[in-house]
This record gives sequence, C-alpha cells and structure tokens, in this order.
Amino acid sequence: MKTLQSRILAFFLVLLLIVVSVTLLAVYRAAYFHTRGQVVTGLDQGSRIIEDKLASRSRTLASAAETLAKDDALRQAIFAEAEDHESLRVALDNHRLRTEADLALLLQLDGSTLAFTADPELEEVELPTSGLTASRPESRSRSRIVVAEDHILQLVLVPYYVPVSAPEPSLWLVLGQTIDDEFAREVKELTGLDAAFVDPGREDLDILASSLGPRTRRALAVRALPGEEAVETLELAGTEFLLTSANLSEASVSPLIAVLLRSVREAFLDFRRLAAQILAITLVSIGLVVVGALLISRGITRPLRSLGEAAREIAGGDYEAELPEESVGEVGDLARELGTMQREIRNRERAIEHLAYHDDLTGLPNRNRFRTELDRAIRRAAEKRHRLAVAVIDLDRFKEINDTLGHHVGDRLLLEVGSRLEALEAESGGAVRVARLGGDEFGALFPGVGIEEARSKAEEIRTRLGEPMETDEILLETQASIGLAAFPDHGGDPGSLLRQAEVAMYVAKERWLGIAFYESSEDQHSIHRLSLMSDLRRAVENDGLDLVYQAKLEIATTRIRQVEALVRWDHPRLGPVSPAEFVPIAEQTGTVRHLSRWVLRRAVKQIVAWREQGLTLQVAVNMSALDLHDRDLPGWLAVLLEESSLSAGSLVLEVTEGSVMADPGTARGILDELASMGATISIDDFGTGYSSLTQLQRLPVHELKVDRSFVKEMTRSDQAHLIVRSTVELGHSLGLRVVAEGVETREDLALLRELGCDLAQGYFIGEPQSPDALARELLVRAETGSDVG
Amino acid sequence: MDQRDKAFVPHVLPITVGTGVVFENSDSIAHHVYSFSPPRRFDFYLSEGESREVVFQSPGVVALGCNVHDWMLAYVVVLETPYFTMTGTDGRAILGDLPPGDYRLQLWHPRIDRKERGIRRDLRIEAVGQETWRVTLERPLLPDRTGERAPEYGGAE
Repeated sequence: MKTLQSRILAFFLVLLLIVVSVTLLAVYRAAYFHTRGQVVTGLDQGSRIIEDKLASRSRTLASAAETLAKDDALRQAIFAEAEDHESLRVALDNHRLRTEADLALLLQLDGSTLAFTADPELEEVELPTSGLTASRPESRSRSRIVVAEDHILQLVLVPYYVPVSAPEPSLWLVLGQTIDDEFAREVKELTGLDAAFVDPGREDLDILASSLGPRTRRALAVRALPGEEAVETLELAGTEFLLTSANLSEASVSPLIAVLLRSVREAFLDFRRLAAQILAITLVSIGLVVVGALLISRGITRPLRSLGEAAREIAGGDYEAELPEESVGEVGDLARELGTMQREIRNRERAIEHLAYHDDLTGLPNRNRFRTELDRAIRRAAEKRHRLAVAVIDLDRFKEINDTLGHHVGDRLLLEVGSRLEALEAESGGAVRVARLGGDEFGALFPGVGIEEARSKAEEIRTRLGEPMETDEILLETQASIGLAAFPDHGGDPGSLLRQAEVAMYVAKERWLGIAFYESSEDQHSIHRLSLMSDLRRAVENDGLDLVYQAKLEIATTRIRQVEALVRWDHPRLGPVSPAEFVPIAEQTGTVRHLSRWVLRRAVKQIVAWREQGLTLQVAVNMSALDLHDRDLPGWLAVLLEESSLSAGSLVLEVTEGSVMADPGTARGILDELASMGATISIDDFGTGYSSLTQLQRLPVHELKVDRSFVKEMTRSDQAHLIVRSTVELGHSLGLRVVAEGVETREDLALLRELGCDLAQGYFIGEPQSPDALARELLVRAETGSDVG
Repeated sequence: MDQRDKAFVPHVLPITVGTGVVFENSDSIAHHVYSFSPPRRFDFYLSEGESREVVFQSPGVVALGCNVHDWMLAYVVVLETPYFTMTGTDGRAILGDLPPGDYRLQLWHPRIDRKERGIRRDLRIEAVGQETWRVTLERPLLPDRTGERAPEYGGAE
C-alpha cells in the first residue's frame, strides 16, 4: 500500500542508504589504500628486518666462536686430535651445544675438515667446506649463508689462532645455525609477515623454510616470484597475499631469496573492523530513521487518516462526523474545508431529498415518500400487532375539468385538494399522513386504524373534498373516489397494498360507490386491463394489429367511393379483442396517439395499394380526442402523404363531437391545419354531444355522421326519425355532407334516400372486410354495375 | 725468555738445537707458557719469580703463547746452524765472522705472508769481504695481532 507514511519512510531510508554508501565507499577507499600502503611498507621493511636478524645472529655466533677459539681445553683437544679424535669431537659438540649452534666445525687451512659435530638432522649433510675458506684469505671472522641439500645454514667462520695472537690462523672454527621454519616464524612474530626462503636456482620453487602452513606453502612452490622490491598480489590456497621478495645472495654463498607475504585478509582485519562499525552505525541510523520517519509521518498521516475517515462517513451519509481539530497548517485548512463541505452537502442533500420526496405543485410528500412511510408504518404495525389502512383518493371528472377549463384551473384545483388534505393531517396530529401520488391521485395513510374506522375516515375526506372550491372565480364542485386497503387484512407489502387501494379506487369510480374496499376478485380484472395496455403498446410497435374496411354508399349515385378503416386486434393469447375494450384503455394511457398514427400509416399504404389495383377510394380514419391536442400531427401527416405521393383529399378524419367540444380552441387549430392540407373533417357520433351551432360553424367541418342509435330507431321511433331528418337538414343548411351509420335494412336505406341523406354505412351496405376482399367486391360492382338495394 | 709487562721478551729468540731456554716471570702476576708447535710441545704455569728451563732438541719454529694473556706471543726459532742473526728495528742485521765456504742464506719473520715464505739465497764466501743482501717483500706483512687486547669480531663481510 502506497501510504504517505511508507513514502516518507522510503524517502528517508533511501537518503540514508545513499549517504552511508558514499561514506562507506570513501572510507573503504581511504582505508584500503592506507592499509595496502602499510602492507607494502611492511613488506619492504621485512627484508631489512630479516637482514638485521641474520646479522644479529651472526654476531652472537661469532662472539661465541671467538671465545671458543681461545679456549685452552679445546686447544688441548685439537692438538691431541691425532691421538684422540673422539675427544675433540665430543669437546666441540659440547661447545656447540653451549653456544646453541646447530653445527660446529673445525676446518684446516686447506679446507679439509678436522672435526665436525651437528644436530642429528644435519649430521649427514655435506657442507661445501672448501668454498668457505678458499675464496677469502683474510683472517677475519665472517658470516656465510649456505644452502646444503634442503637446509639453509647460517655459518660464522672464525680464524683459529695458535697462539691466540699469532698473525695467521692455524684453523677455521665454524659455528652454524639453520634458517628453518622456526626462524621464519620468529620473523613473523617480529614483523607480522610470513616468510619463505627459496633457492631460486632450483627448477621448482623449493621452499626450504617458511612460516606458512603446508597448503599455502605448496601453492607458493609452483608460482613465479615477483621481481625484487616489487609488490604483487597472489592468491594461494584460497587466500590472497601481498608479497615481495628480497635477494639474500649477497650474504650467502648460495643463491637465496626470502619471500615475504602478508595475507590480505589479515592485513585488512582492522579495516574490516572499521567497516563493521560503520555497518553497525548504519543499522542504528536506519532504526532511528524508521522511528523518526514514523513519528513525523504519523504526525501528518494520523490527522489525514481521521480526515479520511470523516470523509468516508460523509460519503456514507453521516453529516455529523467529528472532524479532527488540527490547527496545524495545511491539514488544519483541509479539516476546515472538509467541515464546510460537510455542511454544504448536508444542506444540498436536504434540498434534493425534499425535491425527491415531495411534490413540487402541492408540496405534499410524493409517491416515493409515501411508499417509504407506508413501509415504515407497516413494519411498526407488524411489531406492535396494530392494523393500518391506506387510501388512494382520485378526483372524479378531473380530466374533464382539465380539458375544458385548462391546466391552470386543474392545477389550482389540485393545490386546493392538497391544502385540504394537509389541513386534515395537521388536525389529526400526525394520525393521518397524506401525499400526492401523481396526477389527480392522492394517498392517505391511517396508522392503527381498522377497516370500519378507515371507512369513516375516508368519508370525512370525501366530505371535505366535496365542499365547493373557488378557483379563478369559478366555483367548482368536485367529488373524489376513494379506494381502501388494510394491513394485515389485504397484505403486508407496501407496494401491493398501495396497488390494491388503487384497484379499489377504480372499482369505486366505475361503480359510483364513492368508497370501496379492496376485493381480490376485482384485482383480477384490473390486472387484465394493465396487461392489455402493455400488450397493445407492443402490438402497435410490432404491427400486431390489422385494419378492416367498411364501405360508405353514396345514396344518390349508389356508388362506393368512401370506406371507413376499423382497427382489429387479434390478441395472441386472448383472441380478438374489441376496440370498445382496448380503445378507452389506449385513450387513458396515451397509447391512442401511437395507435392513430399506426392506423393512418396503414391506411395511406392501403390507398396506394388500391390505386395500383385501379380503385380510387377515400378512407375515413377515427381520430381520438388526444390527437386533437397533438400539434405535431399535421406536419407528420403531411410528410407521410408526401412520401406516398398522395393528397390529403384521400383521407377523411373522423372526430367525435365530445372530443372536439372538450377543448374547442386547440382542436380547432389542429383541425384547421388538417383541413387546409385538404383532408375531409367528419364529426362522428353527431347528436350525442352538446355542440352548439356556433361552435360547429367555426370548425372546418365537411361532414356529419348521425349516430347509429338514432338511425337504428328511426323507422320505429318518431323522435329518432325527427332527429335524423333535422340533422340532415341542419347539415345541408350548413353546407355539410351527412352520413348515416348503422344502416341495417333496406327500409333504413329507403328512408334515408327519402330524407336526402348523402351517405349510408352499415351491415346492409357492407360488413367490414379485409382490403383484398373489399377490392374484389368493388371491382365486380364496377364491372356489373350491380347495386345495393 | 722473560715474561715482563705481560709480554714475552724477547719476541723472537733464535737458538741452536739442544739449547735450553729458561722461562722466567718478572711480572707480579701468574703467567702461563704454551707451545703447540711440532718441534716442541709444552705448557706450564709460571708464578711470580718462578723460572723453568726447556731444552729444544728439534729444529723449527716454536710459537709461544700465554693461556692467561691472549695477546702474548713469542717465537723460539731452533736452528741447526750457528750462523744466524736478527735485524734491529731498522731492519738491518750483520752476520759476521763467517769462514769461507758455500752457504745458504734464509730469511724468516713471523709475519711474512705464507706465500712468500722460504726466502733464501746461496752464497759463496771465498775471502774477507762484505756482501749485502737486500730483500724487499712483495706482499705486506701479516698484521701484528699482539696489540689486539680487545678482541675484534668480524661481522658479515
């Protein structure tokens, strides 16, 4: 996790590591070169120390030898040698041991040995005796190093004078000590350097004496030696050495080289100790840095973390989160800003919440809020084993008021209803909760109330809403239908309880009951209606409907030039559904507008198809009241006609009397537009509404359709007969065509002809049929000239 | 042969074969006399005032030392001829009263280098006269070690 804390820590650690690495490197370099320099100096001094040691030994030996050379007893023995050699040898050996020499020798001037005694290991060694005396005739003590077989011998030759102060020696007295491993070890003790003595004349480096261990010694034996005074690095048996060599041949009869070595590892021991100390300091520093960085970063991150927690709480909806009171610089600013943000969010959320849960017209809680409250109330009631009732209130005839008096009046009405319900809620002291569920639908919740009490409460609501309302100086009297559902009687789920109350409300409205309780059987009906609506919408979208056509007979000419398009719906599950059933539903839900456009599109297509078959027919299409409020319709229709190369004259648009009269202003505008395009406008079901002649005159109407109820009765009822006749006369006097629907008998047609009606439509003229069947029939009629009636 | 002031006096004493030499000690300390020379080997101590006679029957050079004082050195040269002499400190010597005849002259000095030893010359004496034998040594004399009272050690040469 890349926290601030770990970043700070990492930063300090990296910084420290860099500093320590650089320091270590610098110290390492300095110490390395210093140590190496010391080793080189040490090696250089080593050879001098060896020389000093050899000289010192030589002096000691010479001193001993010179004293011995004056010893009377030895002299006696020497001169008795011829008679008693063994005595001389024993005496010499005795002196040798006393002087701690490894060998003692008496040489005659010609180089031959007079007497010889030595350590057992040297007894068999053959000494180059002649070379010792011959080379230098001076009668002085001298020191020589000789290599004899595998031994290095340091010899001191002392002239043996008889008498002691004789001008020339009679013999040479030789004392010798070996230069052996012991000697090399002594050198090492003195100098700290390993020493090896090597005879360079031999093929392989024969190490004659050394302080080295056997493995290193063997490893050195096969190496080439460095030049004198040069210092080289050499790895021997896994150990690195610095070494140099010194030629001892000057003091030696035989060639001899001293090799001095210093183990790098040993030499750098001090340096290593220093490195270890630095490392220890580093580790301690790292520890301190970690602690320090943690402390510093905690100082920053702890308030940040608690701010983060506060922010999470705010995100989770808790606006009362405690913010850490940090006065320190930026963190303090952040805390204060977060506090401000918290308050702002709280205020805004309250505003949003109000918008989300309240209706903006009436200010009452909306459906969502009502559902939530219902849910809460049900749970509370369930806990306390209480009952509760919910009411759905719908205003009667609201749609009519809205349509005829305008939306603003409707809104004023809703406001008034809202305030009355609110007043009721206030008076109840919270015992009743009200809401606007949408449109003209209101809800009321009665906690702790059973069915009977709920009814009386609903009645009170009805009474209150039934009092006249004054809006825009119009006195309105409206009534409400109320549906009731109760918990636990009808269910425990707020959604279904609300829907059940709605169903009960529809029942109350349909049956003029005023108030109704939910019954499950009624529910089935309402579900059927609801599913029908969605099925219809799908059918419109998927061309699941069909059109049939019913002919209209021109009574005067007995020709058929007009047909009415009638929609048919073969429901995939329910079978044929009557338009009388689905059209009102479509009108309620607004689907009717899509339905109308589908019918128009299909009809236009059919006109084109008939044209191609040689039939010229004007098609009448039923328009809904909603279509007369659809300002887009004329433009849409113009495009449709243009695409099909048809004139609007091919269409008759039938509108009911009621739909025009509901909102004459808007309807007239749209009808004017449609008429000006060339479409024929027909008033359907004429005689059932309350249209005034003035209004009729202002409308661009071309045709009146007498309602079928009058046509059916006209041969039997004088009143119906009168209505038909006066309608025909009225129509003609206004210059309108008159169409009679529901013509079922020959007598009907005859009477209509007599009355001067222009067009007749009905089963007697022709049943609604498929476009193909209609086309066939009409084509036959055209050929044969056959007639109806 | 006296021992005086911790030295033999004389340094060189030529004698003829069969001659007895009396060794004396004129010092107040004890002395010793030794010889390991082949013509006559002997050694003895001489206390203050003591004397002792040694007869030399064989010819040759007898080197004498003192076991007590290493620097003391003397030579008894035992000769088979009665005709001999010693030089002075100036290096001159006169050998007179030699009857006519054939002689061999031989030179000896304790510090002549070994390689120059046996310097000799044949000489015929016929009438009264004077003959001079000048000898020049090619090599330097060996060092006089009788002064080396403090022994000298040779280091590594």
